[in-house]
Amino acid sequence: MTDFTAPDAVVETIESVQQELGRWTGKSIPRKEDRRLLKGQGQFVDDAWMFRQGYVHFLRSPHGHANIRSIDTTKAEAVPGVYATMTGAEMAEQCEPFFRIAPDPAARIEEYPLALKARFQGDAVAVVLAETRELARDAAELIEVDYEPLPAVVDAVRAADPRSPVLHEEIGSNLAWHGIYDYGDIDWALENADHVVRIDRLHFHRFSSTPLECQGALVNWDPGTDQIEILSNIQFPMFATQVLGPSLGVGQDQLLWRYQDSGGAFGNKIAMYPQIAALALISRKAGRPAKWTEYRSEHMLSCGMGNERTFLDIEVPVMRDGTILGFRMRAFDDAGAYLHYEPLGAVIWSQVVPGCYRFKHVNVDYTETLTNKCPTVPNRGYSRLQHLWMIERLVDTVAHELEFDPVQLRKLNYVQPEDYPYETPNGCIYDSGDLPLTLDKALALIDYPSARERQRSVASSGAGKRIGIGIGSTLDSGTNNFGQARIINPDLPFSGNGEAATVRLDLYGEIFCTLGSSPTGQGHETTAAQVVADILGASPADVRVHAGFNKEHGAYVGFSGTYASQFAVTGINAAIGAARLLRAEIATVAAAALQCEGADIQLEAGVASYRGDGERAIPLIGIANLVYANNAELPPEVADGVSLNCRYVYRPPFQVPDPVTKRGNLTLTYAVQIHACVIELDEQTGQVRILDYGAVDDCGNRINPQIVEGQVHGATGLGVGAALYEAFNYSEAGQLLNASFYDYHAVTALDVPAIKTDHLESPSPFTPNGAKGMGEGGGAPLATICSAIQDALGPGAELVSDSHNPPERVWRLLRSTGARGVEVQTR
Amino acid sequence: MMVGGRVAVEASCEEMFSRLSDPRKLEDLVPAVEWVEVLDEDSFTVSMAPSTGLGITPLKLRVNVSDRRDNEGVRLSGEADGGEFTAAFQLRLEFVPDGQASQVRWSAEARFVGLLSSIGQRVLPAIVAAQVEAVVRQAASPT
Repeated sequence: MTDFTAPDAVVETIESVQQELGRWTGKSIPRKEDRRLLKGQGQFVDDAWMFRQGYVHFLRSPHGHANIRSIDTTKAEAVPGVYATMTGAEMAEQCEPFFRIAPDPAARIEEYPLALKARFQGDAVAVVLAETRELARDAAELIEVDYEPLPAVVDAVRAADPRSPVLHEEIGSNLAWHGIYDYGDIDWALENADHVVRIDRLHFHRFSSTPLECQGALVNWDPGTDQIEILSNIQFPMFATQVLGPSLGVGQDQLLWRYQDSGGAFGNKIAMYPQIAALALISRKAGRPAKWTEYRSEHMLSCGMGNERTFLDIEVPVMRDGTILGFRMRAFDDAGAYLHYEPLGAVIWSQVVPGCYRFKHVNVDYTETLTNKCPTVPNRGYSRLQHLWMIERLVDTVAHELEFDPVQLRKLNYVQPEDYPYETPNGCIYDSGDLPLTLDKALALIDYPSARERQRSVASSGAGKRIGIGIGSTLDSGTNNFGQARIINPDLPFSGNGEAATVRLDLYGEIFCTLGSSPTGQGHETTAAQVVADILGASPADVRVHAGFNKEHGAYVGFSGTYASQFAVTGINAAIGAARLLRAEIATVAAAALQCEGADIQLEAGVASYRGDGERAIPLIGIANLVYANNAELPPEVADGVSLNCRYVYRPPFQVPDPVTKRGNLTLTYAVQIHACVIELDEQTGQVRILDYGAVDDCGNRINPQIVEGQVHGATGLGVGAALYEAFNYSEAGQLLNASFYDYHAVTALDVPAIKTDHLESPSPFTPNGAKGMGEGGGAPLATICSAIQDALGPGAELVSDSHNPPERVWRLLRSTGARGVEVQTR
Repeated sequence: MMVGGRVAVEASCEEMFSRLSDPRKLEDLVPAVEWVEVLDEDSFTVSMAPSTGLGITPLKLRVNVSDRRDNEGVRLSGEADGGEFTAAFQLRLEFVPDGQASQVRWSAEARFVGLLSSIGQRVLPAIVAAQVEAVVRQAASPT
C-alpha cells in the first residue's frame, strides 16, 4: 500500500500558504497579458529578427515510405540568394542520433535532424537556407531526390505483424514498446462475475489541435562564442535541451533559449527539436542565423498528431447489482514514424487506469507500434483521453446491454467522496473530489428530466429525428512524476518533477518574477502575479512577470516547460516559494532598518512596517536602496545574507515507481470534468446537432476562475471538434488525404454550442495552494457525444465503436443490421 | 482520381489528331512551359510552372504518346515530379466529327502523391479538367 499521508512539514506548509493567499488569489482579475495581445503588440516567433538572418525551407518527402537513393542539391545551390543547403547524410556526419526514451529494441533507432529514408509523407529530407522565405521554397523545388517507393503500413495493429513493411530496419520490427499492466485478479473477476460484456473493438481516432500560430524558430550558432541562441515557440525547451545537447555535442550552457508569446500549442509544439537541430546545423554551415516559420500545410503534414489507439478483445466483468469489477483488453497505440516523445504515452495512460471508477481488476496488454504516418505528439489530454474515452464506452455499453440506468450505474461505480485520497489499483492517489455531485451538477445544466421527456416526445413524433443524451466523466491528471518513465525503460535517469521561479525586488522597489514555464495562452503572467502579490502584500499590477521563457534568467530545472496540466501546481508554487524567500529577506533588511525583529515586520501596499505602528515603516524602494546601493548602512551579517533576488524550486512529493509491478503514484493531482449533452440526430443524413451542453469542472482551488473558465471552454471546443469534425485520414500508401482546412475541419466558434458551465472546488490536500492542474480536459466531449449518439440509436443498435462520428458514420450506424460488436454472457 | 469531359472545337478531327499526337506539336500546346525536350516521335520532357488554384506548381513532365488511332483518338501517359509531389496520369482523347468541326471527348486518370494530393483533394479534379481543356482548345486554334 502506498503511503499517501503528507508529512507534517508539508501539511504545515500547505496550511500556512493557504492562509497567505486570498486577497488576489481566487479572483477573476483581468489577464495582464491581454493588453498587449489585444493591441497586436505580442511578440511571436515570426516577429523575431536577427542581423544577417536567412530563411529556411524543409523539403519534405511526397512518399509515405521510400528509400532515398540520392539527393542532388546542385541546382538549388546555384540560385543567387541561396546561402546553403543540407541533406540528411550531411547532417548525420555532424551530429549524434537523438536520445531515445524507449528501451531496446526501439532504443536502437537512429534518428537525425533530417531523414536518411522517408518514413512518412512530410518527412524532411533536405533543407535550404536563402535570402527570403519564398526563395528558399523555390530553391527547394530544384533539389532532385531519387526515391525508391516502398510499401507502407498505416495501421497500428497490422504494423505489429512481422510480415508488415519495417520502418526502421535497424530494430528489425515496428515495435516501439510492449508491456502488460496487470492489477488485481482479472481472471478471478471474469470467472466470478454475473455478467461478462465483451466488445470486439474500439478505435480512438487520429486528430490534433490546431494552434493559430504554427511552429517556428530562429536559431543562430554564433561562431565567436560557440553559443546557440534559440528563439522558438517550443513548449518544452528543457526536454529539447536534454535531447539537443548530446546530439549536437554542446554543453547546456551553449543552448540559450528564449521566446515571449505563443499562439497556442496544446502539446503539438513539444517535439520541435529535430527542426531546431537542423536550423542550428545549417546556421553553423552558413555562418548566419536561420529562421523557419512553418507553413500551415507543413503543420498539418508533419508537426505532430495525437495518439490513435485501437482496443481489442475487451472483457468487462459485471455483478448483478451493476458493480463493474474491471476490464481486460489489448491496446495498440500508433506512434507514427518516429518516437519524438513516445513511448511515454505507453505509461502516461496508466495515470488513470480505472478512470473515475472503483475498478479493482485490470489487465491491459499494451503495444505501441511505428507506422508510416506523422509522428505523434502529446496532444491535449495526452494518452489519458484515449483510455478515458474507452472506459466511458465500457460503462455506457454495460448500461445499455444490461439495461442499467447510465446515471445510476456511474454513481454506483464512481470513486465516492469518502474514498479520498483514493488509491487506484496501480498505486496512483486520487487526491479529492465529489464525482456524484459533479454529475448531478452536469445533469442539472442540461435539465436531464426535461431532456428525457423531449427524447420520448421526439421519438413519437415521426419527424425523422432522434434525441440522445450523453455523459462523459473524465480526469485531468496533472503534474507528472517522471519516474513513470522507468516503467517504460528502467534505465532512464528520471524521477519526480519540479519547477523553478525567481522573484526579485529591484533597485527602485519593483517586484519582478520570472518563471520556468513557457506559456501558450494560459495566463501565467496573471496567475503568478496574483499569488506573488498576496505573499508580498502588493497588487498584481505592481508585480511584473516576465513574459515567456528565457533560460538566462535561471528560472528553470530539467523539466521546465508547459505541459501535463501542471503550472497551477509546479509553476505557481515555485513562484509562491520564491516570493516567500523574498519576503523573508525584505523582513530581515526592514528589521535592521527599523530596529526590530523580522517577525514583527508586515508588508502592505509597498511598505514594510513594524506591526502595530504604521509610522515605523520603510518603503520597498528604501529596502532596495539599502541592499543595492547603500549597503554600508546595513549590518554586515544582514548585507551579506540577502540578495533580494530569490530563486525557489518547487518539488512535488513523489517517490520512484516500481518498474516491475508498474505501481506508484504517477501524478500529483486529479481534476475532474463531467460533461452532459443533448443531441439531435437526423435519421436521413446522420447529422448530429448539439442542442444542449453542460460542463462541470473541479480543479481544486481556482487561482483565477475566469482563466479556468476559458480553459474549460477551449478544451470542450477541441473535444467537440474531434468527436464530430476532425480526423486525419491516410491512404494505404501513407498519403495524408486531408491536410487542408477544406478537408480537415478545424473546429470554429460556429461549430461549438453555447456551453453551460458550473464547478466544484475540492482542494487538493497534496499541493500547497490546494490547486490542481487543469486545462487538458480529459477529452470529456468525445465520451459525451459518443454516449449521446449511442443513446439516440437506442436498444439493440450497433456499438458506437469509434471516437470520430461524422454524418456518414452515424448514417451507417443507423442502418446497420450486421454484427453489433458487443455480446453479453450471463451466468 | 478520374476526370472527364467533352469540348466542342472548330477544328476537324484530322487537325486535332495531328496536333495532339505529335510531340513536336504538343510542346507548343502545354501551358506555362519553361523548356521542352523532344526525345523521339513518341515522347518528350517538359519543364513547366503552371499557375493553379494552389499557386504556381513547378514540375517536370515526361509524356509518352502511348496509343494512336488515326484521326479517331490518342492516348497520352506520363509522370510528373515536383519538389514535394509526384503524379502519374493517363489521358484518353477521342475525336468525333461534327460537320466541319469536331467534338473532343476526354477522360483522365491521375494519381498524385505528396503535398499536392494532401491539400488538393477537392480542387485537383477541377484543375486537371481546366488544364486538359486548355490544351485541347489551344490545339483547335494554335497561335
